Amino acid sequence: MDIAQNLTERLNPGEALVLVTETDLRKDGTFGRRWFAVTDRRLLTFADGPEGDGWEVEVALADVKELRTVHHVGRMGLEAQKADSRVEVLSCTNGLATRFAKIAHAVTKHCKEEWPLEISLEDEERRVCEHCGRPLPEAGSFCPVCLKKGKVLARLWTYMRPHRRKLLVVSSLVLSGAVVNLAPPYLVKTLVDDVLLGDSGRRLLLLVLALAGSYLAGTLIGIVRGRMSARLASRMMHEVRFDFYQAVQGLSLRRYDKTQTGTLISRLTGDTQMLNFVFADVGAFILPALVQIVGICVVLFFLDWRLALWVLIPAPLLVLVTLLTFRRLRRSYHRLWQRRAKMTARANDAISGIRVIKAFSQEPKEIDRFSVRSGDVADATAFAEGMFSTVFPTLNFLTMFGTFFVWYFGGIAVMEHRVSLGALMAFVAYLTMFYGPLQMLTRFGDFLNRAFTAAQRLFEVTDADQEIYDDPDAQPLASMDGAFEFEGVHFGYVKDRPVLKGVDAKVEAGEMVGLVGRSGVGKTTMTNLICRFYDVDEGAIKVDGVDVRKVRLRDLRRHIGIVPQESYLFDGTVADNIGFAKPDATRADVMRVAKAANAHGFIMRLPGGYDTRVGEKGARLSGGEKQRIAIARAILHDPKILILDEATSSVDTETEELIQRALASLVEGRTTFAIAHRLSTLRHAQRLLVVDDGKVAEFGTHDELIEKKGIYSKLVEIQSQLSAIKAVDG
Amino acid sequence: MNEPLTGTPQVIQEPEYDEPLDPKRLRLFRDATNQLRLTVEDDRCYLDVKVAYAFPISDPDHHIGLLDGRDRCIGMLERLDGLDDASRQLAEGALRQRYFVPEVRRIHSLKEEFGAVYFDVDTDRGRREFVVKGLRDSLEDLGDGRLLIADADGTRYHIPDWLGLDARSRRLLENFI
Repeated sequence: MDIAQNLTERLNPGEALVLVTETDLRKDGTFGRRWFAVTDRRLLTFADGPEGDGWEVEVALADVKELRTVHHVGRMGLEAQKADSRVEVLSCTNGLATRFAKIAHAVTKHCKEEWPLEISLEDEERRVCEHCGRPLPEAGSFCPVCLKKGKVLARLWTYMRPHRRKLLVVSSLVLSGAVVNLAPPYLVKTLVDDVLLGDSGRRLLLLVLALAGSYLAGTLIGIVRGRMSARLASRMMHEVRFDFYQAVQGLSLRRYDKTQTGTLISRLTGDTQMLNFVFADVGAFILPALVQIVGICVVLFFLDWRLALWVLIPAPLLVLVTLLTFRRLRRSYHRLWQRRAKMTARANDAISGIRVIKAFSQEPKEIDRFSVRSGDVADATAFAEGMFSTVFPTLNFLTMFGTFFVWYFGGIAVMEHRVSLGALMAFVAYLTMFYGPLQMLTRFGDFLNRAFTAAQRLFEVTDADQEIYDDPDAQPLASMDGAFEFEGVHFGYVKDRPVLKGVDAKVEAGEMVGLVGRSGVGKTTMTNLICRFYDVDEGAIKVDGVDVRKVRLRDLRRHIGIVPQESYLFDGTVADNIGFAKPDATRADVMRVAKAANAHGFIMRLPGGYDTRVGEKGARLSGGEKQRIAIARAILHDPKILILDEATSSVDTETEELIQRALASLVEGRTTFAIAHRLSTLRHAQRLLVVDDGKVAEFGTHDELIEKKGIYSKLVEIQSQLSAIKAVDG
Repeated sequence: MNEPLTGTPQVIQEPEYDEPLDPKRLRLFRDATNQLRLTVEDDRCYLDVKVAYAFPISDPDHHIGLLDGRDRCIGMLERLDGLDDASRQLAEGALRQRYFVPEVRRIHSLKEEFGAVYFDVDTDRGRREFVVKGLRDSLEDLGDGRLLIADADGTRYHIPDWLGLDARSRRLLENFI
């Protein structure tokens, strides 16, 4: 390599070059090439420029204790740690991070443990396409630009190959059909010229029969071909879908992390639909159109080449105009499709997290958000459809020009007896058979289907029924003490399978009650009922003495907070998620509650801070981190009644402590109903409620229940034993 | 029951200073080894300090965090203004070091192939070509014409006002928003 040679000359005598590579950020932080070299004695960084510029950074290996990578936001630095100082050796964008991490590792190993200095970048993943030089969307993967035509066609062929005999039949039908279709105008010409105007009157019947026959033949061929190609296409489509789905199932989990569910689904539906078009319509429309066009050109020239020329002049012009306008039209439909998808994603998100939306009474805001997206879709639709309405009639008009030319120049030719009347009529007939398919061919690639699919998904949302609604004379509830009560509550999600079979319990304001019991016994159900996600079948739930059904739902939910078992984080920033309950919360508020929930620390460590996107598309947070965000969210909500559905996932002791402390600050001063799995949580509870077989089995303080030696005391015993075993973990 | 075992790692409260820090009591400086140090007057001195935005995208002018050598949050500053000139300059420099978000000034070309969008742009750090996988998901519309685009490597590019770009750039972007 040229640079290596030049470099070797610039080194000290006896110094050997180990590696030279480039980075993509210059000394001043601008994009550009900069060189980095490792010799057996030094680390050198220098600019990409004329010789004699010297080294920008020069560090003796002997001085280096460690070479490490420093991750900033959007770039990475390579830093050499010397005995008493640090030097930033170079900087690179994220894409080159792996390369320099490798170098850092090797150099550090050499400096610390005297490993031989061997660095090979050979098996580094390609970041740039070999053919076109464009950056690859996925390192080491294929280049979409270069790959498009050849490989895809080859892929399509693998699906067509098993059916090639049938394809051959369809193709020959297409050919014969096209030829047969060319006959009628010619027959008419003969009919007009020779029979009507001429003297072969006897042949009238014959010609008409021939005409009828050719139409019949054309129709029959068309039907058979249509049915065959439809069946063939759907067969091939099925095979494509099957393979795709199988592949999707076989994807490694890491790919699932990278790809969103929505993308996979839109592939399954949208992209396969595009292929369907290719398979089905190629056979049914495109091929016949092509053959027809070519055939007609031939016949026209055969009839009268001068006239043919006149007639075909508008053709290239029409093609050009169509291509230009359709590119714009296609783009506007693409934009419409994208906006539709955004809107649907919004709805999808909202429906998945509907519990959280309802618990924090955020429906109006959700509706607003959706309405904005819907508005965008409306704008894009108006634009696209408007364009459509302009383009098509205009193109049709342009098509007519061919006909005008024929009548004019053809008319002249007939009057000068250069061309027969029959020929002229044939010309006109052929023209319609020509420009129609021509236009369709140029429109090949118009995908309106996608817009309809998205619309379908939209209607599913609007048609979904609301489950619970407000009583017309529901009372508003301005403030709440927080006492609540179950009075003879019976409930089942499914009517003949009751979960709660007569629950009676009274909780004082500000009290913390721990809910205990086996899995599935009805603990979460009880919390669902307090939030009024469902209405009881029998009995009542009262808050401050008032039946929850008599209170405005919005108000009720404003005073009830929930920290669920699985904290669902919305597609949004950390700040958005924390501030979910109070959209007008200031940033200071958000930080305040984050601090109380022991989340501020890890949030500040995130590169985007509070603006980091989380949720489906965003950063992956650990269970403990998600929990704390959910706790911060609940603190901000500041409810009078708090429902805590404890996560069963185990976290390390340190995180556990953080969560416990966060919960302690959350629970203070509120009536808390905690579904607890850990005795450490229950330790803080004033009273414990044991649920068994759909009823309240035991309800009292910890000491009272231990004395009873009932279910609770047994649970405590088991848990203590488990904790003793578990004690030594992280 | 369930007392923490001895030897369990101490849990530090973050941020260490709960109330916002008083900039008058702070001093940032570089020591002999070129590390960034922070002294909180009469109280403590921290080595190897980092400066981070709490809201880098929505509010970079307020709520600046100071982190210690182990990335633990020391405290928050409402604004940088109250600091003495030298400290403020160091803080601003540290922020510039930490956040690398090129600002797009002009778009030369924008092509979509197979779901990947290829950009060729001029930024405040020079010309750059990059590719974005799934533009719909990687483009954030922050309102008021502000856009944030994340490329396939995770580097973010900022467009402060896409409507204010030159006509050609605007036209190219229009199709994707």
